[in-house]
Amino acid sequence: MNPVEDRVVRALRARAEEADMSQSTLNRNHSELMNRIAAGRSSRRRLLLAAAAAVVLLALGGAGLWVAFDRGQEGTADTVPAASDPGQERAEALVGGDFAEFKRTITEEELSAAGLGDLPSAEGRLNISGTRLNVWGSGGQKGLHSVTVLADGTWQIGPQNKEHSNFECTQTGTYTASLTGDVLTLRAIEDPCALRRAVLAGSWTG
Amino acid sequence: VTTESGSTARAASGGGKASTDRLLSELFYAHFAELTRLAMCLVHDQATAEDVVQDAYLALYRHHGRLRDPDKALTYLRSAVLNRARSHFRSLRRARAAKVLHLIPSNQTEDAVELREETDDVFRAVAALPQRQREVVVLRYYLELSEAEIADALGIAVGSVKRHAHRALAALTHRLEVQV
Repeated sequence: MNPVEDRVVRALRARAEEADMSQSTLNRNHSELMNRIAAGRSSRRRLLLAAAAAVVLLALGGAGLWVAFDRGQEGTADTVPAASDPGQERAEALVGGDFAEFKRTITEEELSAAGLGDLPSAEGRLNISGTRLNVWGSGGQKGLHSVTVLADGTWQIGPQNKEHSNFECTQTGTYTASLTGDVLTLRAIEDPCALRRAVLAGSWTG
Repeated sequence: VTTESGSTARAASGGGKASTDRLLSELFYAHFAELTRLAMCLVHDQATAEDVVQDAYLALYRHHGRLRDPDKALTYLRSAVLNRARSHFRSLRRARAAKVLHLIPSNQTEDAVELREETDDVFRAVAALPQRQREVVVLRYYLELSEAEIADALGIAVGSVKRHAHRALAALTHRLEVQV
């Protein structure tokens, strides 16, 4: 091995040894991994239930129309319950899935509307990997979050931990999410963190 | 990979969510640290390295068949880590070009930073290599894999591994000698 190879070996080993691989780190990662797997199972189960419900509703709707026809009456569309939102289901499938990245421009108007008028517009990036949702903005905004899909399909978004979030907000926010084509639209239902709401809420292009 | 993993793998071959989870946990505790250290050589911080390795395990979980052969599982995990690290590295490069990336501040002291100057210079030189060359260097000099094993992990021919290794070493020699 020549001197350059020797330096490369030392540098790579030093770099690798920087990783904190304590038992607590292993346990935390194991727990996160199992949560992601559980979230994926739950998401798949919800999709299957939604598909089954759609089939039942279609069948019931068809039967209702047939009965109405048979009685010589006209069936009314408003007797058939509305189908679930496919955009929301596609967005749900992002949580617990593989790495996906979206971008958008966060305008001065949006920041101003959130009471942050002194901030310039920023180019934002949003990554979803498993149940992690990470956001960066060129104005210096960033936050590493975890996301949970609630039973009604809304997203509950909160910081992964204090160390990894500088939105200076430890509370969680609730958003609706919809994926149409490659556009992910997030709308805030409730979020006490004004900066996070201003950065997150909007249309993100994948 | 221990024999214990193998026997559990066979026991789990009957399927079942619980046995699959148990086997995945065994593979996790056997290789997560090693794979995270490998990822550290390819991405910019530990949080990203952990994400990359978790993603690899998640992908492995979705391909249950590979769980039953621990040797294949490790090969698959290594390849998955390399693929995901590559995606992160590309995102990082794009973000740097657009000046939108803000790294999490390091908690290292000045003394620690000074001590790391030499290894950082070399690591920066490795990071500046073209993607394939960088991967070959990490697999060869960090994991000490043979050319055949590197070819297997990267899905390329042994001849390509030799070519990438030769070019990488020439580039590193030039860059590091210029620095001296």
